[in-house]
Amino acid sequence: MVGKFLKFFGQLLKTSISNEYSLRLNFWIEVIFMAINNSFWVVTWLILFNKFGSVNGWGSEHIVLMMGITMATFGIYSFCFSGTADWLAGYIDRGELDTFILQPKNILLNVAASKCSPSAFGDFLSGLLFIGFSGLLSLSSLPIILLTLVAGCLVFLSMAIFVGTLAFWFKGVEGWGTQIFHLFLNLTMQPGSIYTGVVKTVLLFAVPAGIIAFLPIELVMNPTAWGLVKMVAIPLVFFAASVWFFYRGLRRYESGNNFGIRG
Amino acid sequence: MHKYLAFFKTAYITELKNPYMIVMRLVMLTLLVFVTQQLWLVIGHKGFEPVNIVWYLVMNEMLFFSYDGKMQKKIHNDIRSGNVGYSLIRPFSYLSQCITESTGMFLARIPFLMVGGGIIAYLLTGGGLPTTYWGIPVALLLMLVSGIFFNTSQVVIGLLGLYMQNTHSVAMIFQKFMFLLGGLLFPITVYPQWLQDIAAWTPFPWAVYEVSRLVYEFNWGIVFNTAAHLIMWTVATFILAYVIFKQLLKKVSVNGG
Repeated sequence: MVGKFLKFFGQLLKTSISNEYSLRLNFWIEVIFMAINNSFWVVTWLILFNKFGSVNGWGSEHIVLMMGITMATFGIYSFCFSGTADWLAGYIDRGELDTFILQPKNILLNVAASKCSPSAFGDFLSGLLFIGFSGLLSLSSLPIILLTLVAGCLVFLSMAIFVGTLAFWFKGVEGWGTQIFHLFLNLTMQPGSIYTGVVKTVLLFAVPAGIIAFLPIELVMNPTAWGLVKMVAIPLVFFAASVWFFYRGLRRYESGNNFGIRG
Repeated sequence: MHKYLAFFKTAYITELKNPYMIVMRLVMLTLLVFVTQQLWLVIGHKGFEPVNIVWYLVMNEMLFFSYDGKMQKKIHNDIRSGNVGYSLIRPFSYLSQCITESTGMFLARIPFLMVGGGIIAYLLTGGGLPTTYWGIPVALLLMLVSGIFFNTSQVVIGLLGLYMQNTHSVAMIFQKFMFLLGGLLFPITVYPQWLQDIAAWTPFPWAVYEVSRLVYEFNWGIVFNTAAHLIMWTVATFILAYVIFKQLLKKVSVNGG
């Protein structure tokens, strides 16, 4: 069953990529522009860290690694599952989920992997570049970083599913739901060392931006078993909850009677 | 003229019909200011008064949330899909329609952001007011001009759909210029001098930093200097929009919609 699932996912990804890569010049322009866009963030933080010195024990190398991880995880999520954050709420709102429901495939996977964002490849590439540039990539930190890429992607996907699923209950989620997702993304792009106390706990267990914003850096600086458990367990629990939430909401879905073509 | 007033009114009323978005913008403004405030607390404010920093951030975020990519996406989609052809045969200027609607949306959002932002800043500072709080009304007036500049810029970015398959990347880079060169999160005085000198040649510090700093560093010299630069850059953006629009008309006339 897992094999069929992965095979279907692979086919969806292949279709989405072919779709986007058909306009090659545009694809590469978007990749380059996104990489330039991401560089601005890193340059801003580098300038400020050079001015202010360390921020609660974090130096410029930590912020570059954090930004690299955020970009790479977001890139993987957005490249593979762009159908969630940008499209799910719209499909539900306009009653266009029928196309996916009527197919004998997993509905959530079908929706999530229905779109691919070319600029996400730029995110992914620039993320890898900054991870390497941080100077903290080593044989000991590599497994942690790889684990974070998977965990972070799962967290982004879960958040996108949660937000998109709200469209089963509320109108206009396509607009304000995107804002919520961007706020979450913004939380992962701030130096994680600024979060302390209750805020840190909330950002780890309730709204797990911490899985991307500060936990990986803490593990690279000081790997602990408990940290690794958090890195694995929290995204899995969050993902399971988001899937449950989606299927709960699906019971409320009413068809829009729209004829549509998957495209 | 009355047709453009009708576009303005329609966009204005439509914007007000989505209360969730109004609330969401204020929630996001609060959270972003709170998070950036935490950063400033950790780095020790570096010569800035904590109260002034919070008000500075709130002013910037008000401006940031007062415009969005809706108009840019609409124009881009109209051009790429060819739907712009339907608009061009109608008895009004498509460009003026877009600018009018964009201004209507902006003016619908900004009062809520100004009032809500003021309350949020007051609460986050524990009832504190910035050093030159009497400059707030003037700063808000200049912010209206900044908002028109940014909204017109969105129209220009959307019009770039004439040359590009996807203008979203350009919009994101424009936003990053606003962050970095405009001093959205940090006053540009914390930057190295070479970066401040580069920024001075762009519209961003005039539209963001110079407007917001009036809340803690007010003098009429800054006001007039900022107003002059803002008006100059806004007019330049209008001209750029017109030039690209003329190109669009030429291409559509020759090649069809």
